[in-house]
Amino acid sequence: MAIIGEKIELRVIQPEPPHKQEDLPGRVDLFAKAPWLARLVKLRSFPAMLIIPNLIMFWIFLLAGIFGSPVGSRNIMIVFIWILWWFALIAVLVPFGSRLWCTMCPLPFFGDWVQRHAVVTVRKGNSAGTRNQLFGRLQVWPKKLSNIWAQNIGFLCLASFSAHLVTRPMATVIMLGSLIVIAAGLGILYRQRVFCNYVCPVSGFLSLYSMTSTLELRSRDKNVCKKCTTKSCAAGSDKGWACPWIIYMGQLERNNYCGMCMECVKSCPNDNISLFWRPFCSDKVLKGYDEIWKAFIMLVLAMSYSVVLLGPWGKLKDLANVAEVGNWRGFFAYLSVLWFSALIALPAVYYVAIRLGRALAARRMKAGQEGSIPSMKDLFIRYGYTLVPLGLMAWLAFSVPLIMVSWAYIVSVISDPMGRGWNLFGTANFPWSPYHPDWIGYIQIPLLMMGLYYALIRGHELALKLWGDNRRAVLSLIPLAVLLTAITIAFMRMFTG
Amino acid sequence: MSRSIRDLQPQAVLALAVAVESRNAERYATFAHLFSTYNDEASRLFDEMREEELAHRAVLLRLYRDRYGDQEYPIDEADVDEVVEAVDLDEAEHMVFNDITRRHVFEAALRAEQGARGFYASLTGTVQDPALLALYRQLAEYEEDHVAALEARMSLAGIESGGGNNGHHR
Repeated sequence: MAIIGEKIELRVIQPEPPHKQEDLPGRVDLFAKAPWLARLVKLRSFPAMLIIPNLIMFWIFLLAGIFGSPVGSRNIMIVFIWILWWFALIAVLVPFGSRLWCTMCPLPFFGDWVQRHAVVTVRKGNSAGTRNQLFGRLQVWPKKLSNIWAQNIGFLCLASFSAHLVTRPMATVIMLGSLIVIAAGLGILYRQRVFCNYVCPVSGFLSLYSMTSTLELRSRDKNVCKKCTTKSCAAGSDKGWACPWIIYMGQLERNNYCGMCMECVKSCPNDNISLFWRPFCSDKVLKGYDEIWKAFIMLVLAMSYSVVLLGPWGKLKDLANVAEVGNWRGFFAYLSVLWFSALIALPAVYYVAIRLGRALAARRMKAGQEGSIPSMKDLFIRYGYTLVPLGLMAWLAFSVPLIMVSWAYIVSVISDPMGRGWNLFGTANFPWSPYHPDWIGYIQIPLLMMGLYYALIRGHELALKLWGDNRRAVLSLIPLAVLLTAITIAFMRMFTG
Repeated sequence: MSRSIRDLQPQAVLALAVAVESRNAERYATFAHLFSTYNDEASRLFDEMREEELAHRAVLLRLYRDRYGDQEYPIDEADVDEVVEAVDLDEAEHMVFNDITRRHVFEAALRAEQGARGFYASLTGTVQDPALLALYRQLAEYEEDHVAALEARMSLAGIESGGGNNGHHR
């Protein structure tokens, strides 16, 4: 408690964070609890043992996309990628596994191979600031592009053609084929995982929503990292490659740019890196405009997909599906609204809410305290985190009907992956039967409520840190809380009709 | 790591202080190498800091030899629980955003020196042994000199200490 003037104010004391990860609230050291898991990820063949089967599946899907049925629901590529994989990513992998998809993703395989000339073994050396021998041009990615703006725009571009992508196998073949070629090309020219860090559109969204995940890869004790002289996690060693995501584990405090390749687990000379289980939404710091715009884009896309793909408005669906309907003027109108909403309208409304909140909280300041008012930039970026749990839950709510209505396609397409009349496992004629469609709304509403709950709770924690006392923190959040609640209600109304 | 620096005798404390400076020089060398392809200026500055640490080591080694001759004392910073002086980055993502600057290097060095000064100073309040007390005071004064020298250098370079945004945003 501190006395300011004549009023007694509740001051928030911010202690130094503990240097041991296990001392943070709710952390469980999974490698300590399950030593077999540590042994598994320390194998040099990990994660190749996941990537190679995934790569084979990827090629099978590409072949199915090229030579299989052009009807989306009869082609394993469309059904497995846009229904099964997408749902698994949103509902399981991201919330409970952070960026585990990146651990096994086949897209950077060829780029990695070009740089390492190896799939399993590691090579000691002295290339490009690392302690490994690397090959290729190994240039540093341009500083101006060292952010996630390219991923933001890339995802928005893909989303603009989503109606086409999710129904036409050849469109998905072209998209995925292009990504693997770009990933390999960038791997030849630039050092480490440039494609994953700055270009891959999926990586951008994984980066944002992995902040909510209940899994993290961290150093066990930051003091051990401080005392480390080799910094092998970042520089590499004869035991592991230098972090391909170019992060330093000694100060890692958020999941965004950790692709969980586990090289640092192998290279750490102190056995100081572990997987930790943790509470939902533990990372709370957005650091740049590129990151908060990612949150705007994802929230607008969740809304637009829900309206276009799930809503009852057939005309809107026609506008988005230009390839089938051929209404280019309507398509450009749809694109204009989509891009304007994601890049300008939502950020503008959010800005007004933050500005209002700042003015409300600043009114409670005494003369002479103006210097302690957080800057608009700080508030704009930091409060942006509230859009992260809200956005993830909106995407999950959107994906629930996708799997509950279309799950039967997965069963039938396993037996007839190319849509050519095969019946490999006797399930090709499995009838289309939505799974309890009457339950969908009852699942979506609690999900959206949970997103709002975490947005407000974590928003309050951030506000306390920024403003220092509870009253100002609450006042500063009021307009934003109104905006977030309005967005949640809009989603609820749309999902429940 | 099994024991506290508070359990050490003067000879061990001084030997540890020498080892700490050696290890810090190694850390600077690692950072200089790591950032060599990102920012030449930052990398060079890390390297200059390495030389500074080796100079600090030489001073402490002279002091050790004046007191204990060539008698070696096998101790390293990994042998004690506390972090005495360990230069570290303030951020995990400097390479991702390619945003390391000479300010970051100076501030990392300053944090390490201030940490060491504070650490030795805090120990002066915990010991009764006059020899240890005098040694801790002397080491705190050395670190105070390092802090002052670094601040003067930062001032010459036009960098105010504590002027960054504390990693809140880019």
